[in-house]
Amino acid sequence: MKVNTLGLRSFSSSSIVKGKPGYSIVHPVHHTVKIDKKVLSPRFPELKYPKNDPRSPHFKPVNVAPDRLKEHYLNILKSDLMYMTYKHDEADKIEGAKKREWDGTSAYHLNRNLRRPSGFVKEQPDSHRVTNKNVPELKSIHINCFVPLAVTNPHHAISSMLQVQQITGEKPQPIYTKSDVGRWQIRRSRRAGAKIELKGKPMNDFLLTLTELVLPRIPEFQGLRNKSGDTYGNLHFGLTHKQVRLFPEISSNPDLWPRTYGLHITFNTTAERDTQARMLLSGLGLPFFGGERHS
Amino acid sequence: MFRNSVIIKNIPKTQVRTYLTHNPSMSSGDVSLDRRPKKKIQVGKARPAIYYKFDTVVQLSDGSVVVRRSQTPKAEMKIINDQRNNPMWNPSRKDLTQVNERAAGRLSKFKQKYSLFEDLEEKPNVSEQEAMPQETKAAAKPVEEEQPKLQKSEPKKAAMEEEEDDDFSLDDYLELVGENVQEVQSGGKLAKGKKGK
Amino acid sequence: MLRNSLRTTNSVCVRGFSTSSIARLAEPIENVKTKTPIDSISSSLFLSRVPIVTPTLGEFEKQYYKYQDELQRRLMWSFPYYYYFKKSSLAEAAFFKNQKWPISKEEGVFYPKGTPNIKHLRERSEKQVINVKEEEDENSKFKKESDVVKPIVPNSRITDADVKKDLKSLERKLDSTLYLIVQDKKSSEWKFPSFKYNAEERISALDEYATENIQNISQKDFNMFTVTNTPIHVVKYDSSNKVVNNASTNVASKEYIIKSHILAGDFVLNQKESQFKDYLWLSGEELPEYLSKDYYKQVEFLLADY
Repeated sequence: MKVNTLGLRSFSSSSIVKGKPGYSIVHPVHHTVKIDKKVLSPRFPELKYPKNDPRSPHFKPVNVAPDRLKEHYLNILKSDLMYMTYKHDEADKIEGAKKREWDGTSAYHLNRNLRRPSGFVKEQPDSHRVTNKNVPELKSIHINCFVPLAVTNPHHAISSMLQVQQITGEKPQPIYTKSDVGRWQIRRSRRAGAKIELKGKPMNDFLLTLTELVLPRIPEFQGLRNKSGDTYGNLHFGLTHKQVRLFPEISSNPDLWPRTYGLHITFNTTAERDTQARMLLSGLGLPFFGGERHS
Repeated sequence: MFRNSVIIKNIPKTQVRTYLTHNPSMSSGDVSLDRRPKKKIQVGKARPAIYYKFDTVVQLSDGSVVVRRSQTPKAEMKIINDQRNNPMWNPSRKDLTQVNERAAGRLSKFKQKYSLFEDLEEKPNVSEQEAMPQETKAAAKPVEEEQPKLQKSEPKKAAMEEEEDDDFSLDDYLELVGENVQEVQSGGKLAKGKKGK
Repeated sequence: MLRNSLRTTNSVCVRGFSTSSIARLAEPIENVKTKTPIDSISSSLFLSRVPIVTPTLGEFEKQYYKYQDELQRRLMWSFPYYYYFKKSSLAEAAFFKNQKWPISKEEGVFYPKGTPNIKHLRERSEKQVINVKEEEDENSKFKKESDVVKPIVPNSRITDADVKKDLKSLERKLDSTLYLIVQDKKSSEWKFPSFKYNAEERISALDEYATENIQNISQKDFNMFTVTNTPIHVVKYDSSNKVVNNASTNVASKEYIIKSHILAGDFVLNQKESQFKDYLWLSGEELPEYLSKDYYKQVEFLLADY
């Protein structure tokens, strides 16, 4: 509590009344500022370097070799996609369903939360015209390898982590079960699988392996379904435990893999519509088949 | 008003990670993991995971050469079936054939069946003869050390050595064996602990 | 024919995602009414061959990648030989034989480059170098003629066509995009192949017209992928057939450019059946030597980066 020597009341705190101590009326912000105390300590001078500085312990080199998929995209695909997604007389923005205001017919409408969007539970994102500034691009690939067997036999938890690590070349994160279902023999908070988000060069390397080595070797592979997609430009497909064996890391030492696990692969793109995402991914080497859902 | 002791209530379940050592509620035949004590990583010493990778030179089926970063210890790799070989990725080409490892033709079936005797097709040289028994002996040793399931492969390999010494030709063996031989299956389904519902 | 010979490090191929709809196979549009007369419109084809091989790196780029690679090699975790090679197996023995192991620490020895700090057979203060190249055995059991055992020797990135400077070959300049340009019989100008509409003949869409005509004037068949039916650019000409840069001046004719890629086969000009006398496949850098200054200025931005 701040008390001036002149006895004047300072603005940041209330006066002392009836013996009760005054309290600060300055809104505290100390909890909103994130301070990493390790950096303040003189014991760790190497932590002061930014993460892209080679002297920092968190440094991870990024551009280690030329990325041929990225070069192909920038040189050929990007401009082609811009032309392909062009539609004459298309609006700059197509608004998705948004939350609505209340009429004001009732007095209780004041300060009430906005209404849910018409026809939807949640707000829908906007869809913009494709220009040179927002050409669809592959943002990240999510790999999810859920192995409920690991709940009863924890060795599978480690094997699945190793499998994802071998396939991608990066360190995955463990998956923990979220529900208790006796019939499926799964219990909550048990380690059961591996997941990883790939970005940049590791993502491109993985996609190249998929399109050049793995998918062509799958017998009777037709491609990704045209129906797959979350309507907002993210596509998804899966590989069975037998198809996963086709990765060169696993096929080159089959003795080490008595058991492999199937996984889910999700492509996150900056495309705002599924059709645009499919154009992008087919340009990156993925075939598609089947009828489309309207998107 | 302050409490003397701090009582932690209601720890959310997601924060508690239990690693199974023994769970009485699970059925018997439960597996436990032996965990080594976790090595403490000092503050500021933690480094990102960068696995050892090799620059593998990969030759695809059409002859294109690509450099691929992978963890498997291989300097070079030649791939028989891949994107360049697959008609789906090459709609312009109709002459593409994929090498079928499990070919259905009679010759390839034959070769597959008698793959052990592949080296006996030609009469072996002196140096090869000396080399061969040594190698088969070396191969036999680890077989013996392993499970008894593989005992049936041993007499086959022993037979191979004998044949060489007696100049037993492949054709004669085949006459004895016959054309439509069905190999004896080395064991049926193992009885599992689980019973049907 | 593309993709015939052995090539070096390859780029990703262009996938054919067709955008043609069924409606376009229907009858041609009749009684077409346009603002400008049909005779003044021409459809031009921007036919390109994508790079077959990764781009050549400059000196700076090579040094940069080498530096980043060395940084990563230094930071890499030790190679887990115990995972890939089983204990006391033949493969492990061969692997151990091939490696150059770090000097071990011994008592009473002075190490001028610093005392060794070795864990899992790896010197912690240096990058780890693992040698997995299979050495050629003289007494090898396998026949060296077989394809499987021969070491991979990629072809040169500079092909015969590069050496001969055969400007009509598609196998030239594998690391850059090639564009088809043709020389008109009458004007002797070099341009992208453009086909003028004829009021008497049936009128088809711009992209269909261009693709049909280009196949007609070629001796050899080829597969192509038209990016889209929307033209990527329009070049305007005045009455004297000069390229018009300023929109306000009198525009007598228009040339709509359709973008496409050649996927397979080759384009060989049939001089008798076309209004062109010569053709060339040129890279982006060589185009300004042949195209007229004004035309190149119009078309420059359409070219790929390399």
